[in-house]
Amino acid sequence: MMGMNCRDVEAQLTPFVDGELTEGASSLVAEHLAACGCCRQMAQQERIGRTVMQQHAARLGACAPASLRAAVRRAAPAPRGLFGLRWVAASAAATVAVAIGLVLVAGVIRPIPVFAAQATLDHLKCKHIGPSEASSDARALEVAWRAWQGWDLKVPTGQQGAGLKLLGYRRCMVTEGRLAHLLYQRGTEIVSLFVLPDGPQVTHAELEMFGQEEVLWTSHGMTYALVGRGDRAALSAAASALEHELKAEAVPAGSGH
Amino acid sequence: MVFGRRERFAAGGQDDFEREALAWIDGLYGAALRLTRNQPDAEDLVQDTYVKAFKSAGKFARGTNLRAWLFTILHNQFLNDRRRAKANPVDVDSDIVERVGSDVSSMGDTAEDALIQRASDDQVRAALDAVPEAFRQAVWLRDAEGFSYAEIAEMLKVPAGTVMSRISRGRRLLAAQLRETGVGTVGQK
Repeated sequence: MMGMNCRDVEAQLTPFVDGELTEGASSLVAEHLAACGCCRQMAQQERIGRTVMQQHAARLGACAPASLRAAVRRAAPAPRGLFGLRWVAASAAATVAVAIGLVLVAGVIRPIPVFAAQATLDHLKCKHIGPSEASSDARALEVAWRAWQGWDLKVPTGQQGAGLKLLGYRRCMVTEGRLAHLLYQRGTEIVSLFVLPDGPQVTHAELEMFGQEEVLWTSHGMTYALVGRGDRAALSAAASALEHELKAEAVPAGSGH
Repeated sequence: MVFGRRERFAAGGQDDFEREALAWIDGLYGAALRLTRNQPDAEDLVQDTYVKAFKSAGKFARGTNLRAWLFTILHNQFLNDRRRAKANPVDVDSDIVERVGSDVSSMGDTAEDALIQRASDDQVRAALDAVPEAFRQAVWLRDAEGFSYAEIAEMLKVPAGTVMSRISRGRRLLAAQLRETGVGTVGQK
């Protein structure tokens, strides 16, 4: 007498309630529901859930805050110049970033230029978006990072001779959080300090990449890269001050309170 | 792919792409809010989604569904975040699932049902946020965003049958949750 069993009906309940079954299939389900209290109750509950959603969904949704809109707009690639050249550059950069990210994530090889390029690209990409965890409290950021990512990040305040004001950190998407991205204010510019555990060992290197200056060094097994625009000597001095600050607090700070 | 993108957008399409992509920000933010259940994480998720979308715009084939593509990126980004946070990527509370799947006899009467359907926005929001993630997400994509089962299946990389089952259980859980929090019993019994 019944064309369907309860299992068959349960599998078709959603399209049935949504009115998306063919007429034939729908009447088979309806026939079963008329005879089966359990499935009828289930259909009724699903219908209620659906009705509630339909009544409330529009108001449960939310308009994206203006600050989010602005941040997303800033994240859009720069407007294309003549013949689309800037876009070509942006595409190439994105490709390089993805490739580099894969290299870093896979941990196959971590040469210094790859890390340097990664850091510069992330700096260019993220400096306008701002930190995902905003704070000028270095210790609080260390604790938050430890809780979030599970490894000890030493956050220099930037106040001990480097002339930097700590803004917070961002995670770096392409490296799945293995690369910490700290943001600092230096005058009117944003500079980035990247920290990679187990990165390439480099005593000290200064280079220019994609129009940004970059200073790299390794300290206590962590590889650091300070990236920003402008005067290399000034950036180098800031990097030395940060390196000094990191050495001074050799006692791990992220593990206790 | 990248070069295909360049050709496709060489005549000024980049601005179009961004404009079109930005047009979906409210929907993405709404979905992000329901996924993360808090505003700062939702904002971060939407930002990261757009950064990724702009970066991989070359992989988007023009003429296909940009909105579904953006929601797919949002979902993947959310899973990545969850994995990074070392949390279970699919938060399926088997107890509550089993209960809704089998214990239908405790389901309410018609009067209760009518009251549940008059719940306030805040009550519904709280009830929905209490629904396990996988179901909450499926219900949201279907009932708030109106995606088809096939679109959701592609987004979540699960079979369409699983999508329907998640929607079904999610809706029933929502009704059960509203009942449990007393929405359906006020002034009754």
